[in-house]
Amino acid sequence: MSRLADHLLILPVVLPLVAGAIMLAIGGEQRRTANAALNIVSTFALVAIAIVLLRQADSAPTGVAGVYRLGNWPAPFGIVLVADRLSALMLLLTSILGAAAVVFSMARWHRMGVLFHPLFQFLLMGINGAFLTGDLFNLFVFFEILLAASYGLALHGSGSARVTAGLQYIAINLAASLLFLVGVSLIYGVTGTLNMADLAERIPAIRSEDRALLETGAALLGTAFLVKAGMWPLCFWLPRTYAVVAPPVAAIFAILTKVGAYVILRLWLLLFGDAAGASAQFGGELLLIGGFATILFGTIGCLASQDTARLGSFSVVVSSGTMLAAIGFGQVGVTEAVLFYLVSSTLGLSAFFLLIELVERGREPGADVLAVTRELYGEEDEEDEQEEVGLAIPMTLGILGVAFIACALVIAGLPPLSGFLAKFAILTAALNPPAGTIPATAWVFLGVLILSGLAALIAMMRAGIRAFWASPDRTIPRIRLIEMAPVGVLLLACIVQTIEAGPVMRYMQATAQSLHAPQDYIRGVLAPVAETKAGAAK
Amino acid sequence: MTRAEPDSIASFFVENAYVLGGGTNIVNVILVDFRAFDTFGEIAVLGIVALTVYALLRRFRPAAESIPVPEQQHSQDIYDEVQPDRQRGDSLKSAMAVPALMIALLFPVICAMSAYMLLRGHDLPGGGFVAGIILAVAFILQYLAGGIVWVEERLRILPIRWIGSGLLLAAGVGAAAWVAGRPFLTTYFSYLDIPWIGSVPMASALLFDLGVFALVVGATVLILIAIAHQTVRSHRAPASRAADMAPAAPKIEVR
Amino acid sequence: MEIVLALGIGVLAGSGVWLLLRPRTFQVIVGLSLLSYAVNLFIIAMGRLRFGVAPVLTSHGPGDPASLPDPLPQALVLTAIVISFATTALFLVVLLASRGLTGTDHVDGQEPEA
Repeated sequence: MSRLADHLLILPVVLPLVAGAIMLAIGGEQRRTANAALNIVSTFALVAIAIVLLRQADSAPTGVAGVYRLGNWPAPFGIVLVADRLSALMLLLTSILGAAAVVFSMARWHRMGVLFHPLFQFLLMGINGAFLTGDLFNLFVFFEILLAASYGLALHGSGSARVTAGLQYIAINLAASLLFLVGVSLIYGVTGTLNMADLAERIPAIRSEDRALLETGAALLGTAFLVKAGMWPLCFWLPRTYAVVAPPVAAIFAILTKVGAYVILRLWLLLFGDAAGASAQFGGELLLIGGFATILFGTIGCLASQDTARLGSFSVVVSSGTMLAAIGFGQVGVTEAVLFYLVSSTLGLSAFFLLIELVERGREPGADVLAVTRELYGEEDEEDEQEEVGLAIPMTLGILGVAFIACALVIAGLPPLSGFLAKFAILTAALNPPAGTIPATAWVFLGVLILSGLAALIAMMRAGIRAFWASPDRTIPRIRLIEMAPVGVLLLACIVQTIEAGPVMRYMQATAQSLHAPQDYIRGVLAPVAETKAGAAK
Repeated sequence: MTRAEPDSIASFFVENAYVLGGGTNIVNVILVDFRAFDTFGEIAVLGIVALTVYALLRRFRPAAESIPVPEQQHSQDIYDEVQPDRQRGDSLKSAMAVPALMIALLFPVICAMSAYMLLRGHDLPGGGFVAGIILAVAFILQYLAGGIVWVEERLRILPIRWIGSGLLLAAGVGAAAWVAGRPFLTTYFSYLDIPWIGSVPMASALLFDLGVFALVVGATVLILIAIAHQTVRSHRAPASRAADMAPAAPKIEVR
Repeated sequence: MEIVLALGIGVLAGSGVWLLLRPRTFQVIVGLSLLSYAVNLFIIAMGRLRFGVAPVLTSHGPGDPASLPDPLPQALVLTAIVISFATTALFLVVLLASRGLTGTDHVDGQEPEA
């Protein structure tokens, strides 16, 4: 157990923590260059670690790369970290977004306020921990770490818009955390355990008079996660916050709603899967209906939003809604498609948040508001059309335009990029249920998804026209390579996902199957340790 | 809460707190050993919050109506100005002289108390968290009694470094288990015989507690100092802003 | 005794929720604090009530789970208290900053019109 490879599983948590702590210990903000270098090194190391874990998980016959028992305590008693296919996938996604955001921030954003780098590392630590942990209360702790760091980053740069949005963001998340605690303690009170795998074992055997309490606890937990995932009607904090935070922060925040969705996917299928006896599929319909409502809310928001950052935020809501509704189907085929969608939409949205700032640069603030009112009242400047016969688009704008189109295609789900494949896969699976008869909800889902895609396309086109064509006298934004490269890399990841759709889909399939049949996961976690603690400690 | 208890994982902790964890205070053994990873996360949250507070307040000026000097202090300052042999702020100083002296003398006592709490935590109520809060109180009392300028002329507290070192120490103790080939945060304990003192329990959990202690001191002091510095900064608020809020307030040079 | 604890939790939670829904930031923060007290008591209650014994071993040996209260919720609640203390402190400072930047203590950052 002394080789570093054995401790690889804990590194996604410890590495950012140590990096952040070193940044603080050498003096914090006084050594910003050293901090920045550490931040980059640590984030890229996380990408490498995540890739190794992903390969391990995929090659393991059970799909579990490893179970890490903290403090060497046996499983249901101590805290465990578990890296299965889903966790490894989420780790990789997080680290890629992190790397893109950190490189982007080097251009100027990290100088907007103090202590950007340590907070960023702590945020990564919290997200990674939440993806890895196999313990319910430890999940709460990691949620708080990622939230605390996200509060700090949301306020990065200060200003009254950020502080007011941050105030609401913090208030709703504090309330949600309290619900989380009530849920965890209720579940502990009924089952007497905190370990997720152990819970899954104990739930079928719960006494019938305790079942209502257990389901109350689960519902409270679910509410807490749904606040984070941004399900309607718990999502009103989301657009406002995401629209005002600094762009690199928004890019990494794109994964935060997915943390909520991840936990729902993991816990719901683990605890209330088909093996859960009387509680099987508890709350599934609610997820489905809530998901539909969320998509509709997000779609209306997309169409109504006047500036591009808000458009991005509402796209996050749509993406959350799509995932939640698809999870609510509770079918293996839909789950594998939704995992594909998760990766594609997170990458696309993250790239979009970075791109917005580049596009908006060099335009006067408030131009969007004016543009919409002008469209509304028809007060366009008539002489423009006579003067501008052809519009020479300089190189920078060309690159930005192509990137914008790519983002729009991924987010709206149009061919040929990965967004289309994802939506197509979701719908194919939903319309081909194993039972044979197509449920009415599947048809509703089809309608809602197509509608949301159409609305996203319209909103994106309007934003694109306004940004690239409408104002010929705009100054061409000055953009540095390290700002454009992260956007390029994120979009490249989408393209790779499209081209390599076969292997990626196979991976998602294996992930979804082990999620729906979690026996391997449970057995892996609860397996007895070879050597006992008693012999080890003395 | 009146229902029968389920077959809980808690019985494992009760049975093994001393046998495997080496402490009689079961709650503390859970915190620093069985579920040390939770504590690890908890101190990280505290540190992050302190950093956020610092980052937010560093450039921030307080709300407009809290800028004027309080009425009493204002009249004292006018009195000091009029007397030829007095400097502005002297009244305040003489009023606070006795409490300031007492608090300054209490400083080493509180520090000793804090160390005592730190060391007894594994077996009796106490621990790194309590000790950290006590030491932070020692620092804050000095601020209260002596004022910001007085304290910072004499003490160089670098709370951000305290936070960083606390986290590093805790992580280092956790990672030290790797050398022995055990997972992160595996603890080690034995009894050391130190001449004249006798058998002393030495647990790696104590070092972990030391990390908790350093972080708690750093985080608490950082938050409170960040708030305390608001008073310094508020009086240096730009004249344009301060002028229309507090026409009567005299300018006070604090530094 | 259970009824006293239950009533206490209920009153704290009820007042907390009411204050949380008020429009002023200070009311919100007091509401959140009351709610977190209620939640902390609730966590303790989930370990079942036991009177007159602390989860501290009297002998150097294995403890008897039947004679001692459940220590786990007490450990969890300590972690939860610290975390809610920290985040509430953060919220308080954000509240101060919001008050200073926007000039109002309304949660929307502006006074409602009318």
